[in-house]
Amino acid sequence: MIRMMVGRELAATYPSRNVRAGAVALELRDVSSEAAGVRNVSLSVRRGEIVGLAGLVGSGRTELACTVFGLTPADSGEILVGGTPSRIDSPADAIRLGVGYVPEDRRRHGVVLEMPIAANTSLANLAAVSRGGLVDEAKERELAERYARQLRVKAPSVEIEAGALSGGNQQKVALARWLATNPSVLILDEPTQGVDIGSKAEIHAQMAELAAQGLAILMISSELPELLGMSDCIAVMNAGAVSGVLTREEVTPQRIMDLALVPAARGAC
Amino acid sequence: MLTHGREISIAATIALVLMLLAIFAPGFFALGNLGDLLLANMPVFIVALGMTLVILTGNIDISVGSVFAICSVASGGFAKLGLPMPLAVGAACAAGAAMGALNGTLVAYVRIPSIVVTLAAMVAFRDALRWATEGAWVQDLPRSFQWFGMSQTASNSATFAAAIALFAVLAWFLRGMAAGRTVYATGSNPEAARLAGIATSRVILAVFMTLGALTGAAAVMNSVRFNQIPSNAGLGLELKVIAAVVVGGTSIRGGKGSLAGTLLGVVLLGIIGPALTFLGFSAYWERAIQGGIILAAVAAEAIGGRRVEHAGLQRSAA
Repeated sequence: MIRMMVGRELAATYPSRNVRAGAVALELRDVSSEAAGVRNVSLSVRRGEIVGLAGLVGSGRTELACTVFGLTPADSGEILVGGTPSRIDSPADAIRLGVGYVPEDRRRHGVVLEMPIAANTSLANLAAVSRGGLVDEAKERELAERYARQLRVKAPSVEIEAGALSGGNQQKVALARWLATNPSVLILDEPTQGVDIGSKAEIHAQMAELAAQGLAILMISSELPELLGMSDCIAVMNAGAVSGVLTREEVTPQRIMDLALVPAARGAC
Repeated sequence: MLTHGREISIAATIALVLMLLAIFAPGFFALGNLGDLLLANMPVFIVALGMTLVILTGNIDISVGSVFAICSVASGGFAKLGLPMPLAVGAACAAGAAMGALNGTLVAYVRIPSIVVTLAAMVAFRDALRWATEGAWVQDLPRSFQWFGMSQTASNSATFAAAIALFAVLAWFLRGMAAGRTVYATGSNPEAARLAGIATSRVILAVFMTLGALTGAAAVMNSVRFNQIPSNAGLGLELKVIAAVVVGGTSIRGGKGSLAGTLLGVVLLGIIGPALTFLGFSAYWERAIQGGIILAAVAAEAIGGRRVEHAGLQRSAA
């Protein structure tokens, strides 16, 4: 039945990956942020690894992302990017350190709907396409076209306003913006929520591809199949803290739900 | 980012008005008349350039009339104190920028809506000036102040050249510079802009300060044309300026618009009054027709905006 609806094997929508995790790209040591309600989170993501962040809505996943990205800076604990202890007090700091964040609500937080795809792609890294503060439009176009091609954005040209695209394609543009910053760590918040099935598979394939190239990905998701299908290990959050970490071998939907519902011992990934 | 459709329709309206004038009242095109019109609208134009930036970020500044008055009086005062003219101009711009900084800080960092901040500023600045001057006009201005100490023609040409230069620089900044992008992004989607690492608060502060400085410049350019400076200068300026910007196609919700549109808006609203007089209509129609034009512009934006939103929603639902 599902196979008939989707038109292909459901299992096949998740790309098979050959993980070769490298050095630790992002490490959180006992990170807390009063404002965000994040409590003593310790977590690490290696290069080439996709770490899933599971938990109920309101468990503090997005809040943790905001803390790592400098929107609600940590007031205690340590954040290490590429092994170096780093202060991240603003998104600009995070971007400089190579940390990207693709937010959950792309219409509100992701793409700038009135801007063309090209301007959306370069927005977080305008320095890369400008010289002396002046935007080089040819260079910007080239950058946007490269990522539009790589992510298979369906649009006749990168001059099209992002508001005219479908949800899935808007999400790809949001992703393109972050890839254009050459991040070493990418936080994806519900990357495929409200995205059509075709785009969803493409986004998953892209994530696998990026991980294979050495990107460290922290993926927030409320969808169990996505978490199970994409993650190398899954950290479960509960009331602002990590209640447990499961490796690919130990993970079951039941275990995730148990950790999401019952406060349990903290672990490290 | 750009609304070429709007710019074309205003240009067409202007062309229509000019055509009617050419047929029925060719006297309108007398050089003297055009020159007067140009000079009379110069302050509105220069302030409107700054106002466009502020409105692009999704904010508004209705205190510009009061800032204009303070800068006018201040420039005369500085000149009377014996400050050389370039310094007096600089001081007026600095005074404007300082008032803009006050507005901008309250909007960007204290996060009070700009309409409230600048409404308060409009009243406070105006009354502060009234208290300081006791309603007296600035008189006995030094010769170096009148026409910038130049001949009238030279002063007018310099003013005109300065306005064109300001327009060119700001238009280039908005379209070509990375910083110009941040102005659009801040107005279009402040959250997304912030997530993209743009310091939106700093952008908002900067546009308010720019508007203030431009208002100071406009105040000096206007003041040198008269031999007294009224302490109630710039009354109602904010309405003319905001109307011109909105008619020029800049979205009152921010993120959309251009300085070329603002230029056209200033031209259209600037010629419509005199045009009516020349065409033999009662001058009482002027404000009604201006109001009609503004309403049409805002309605066009509201209808256009709704259409885009619907299209977006349908697509994201699909």
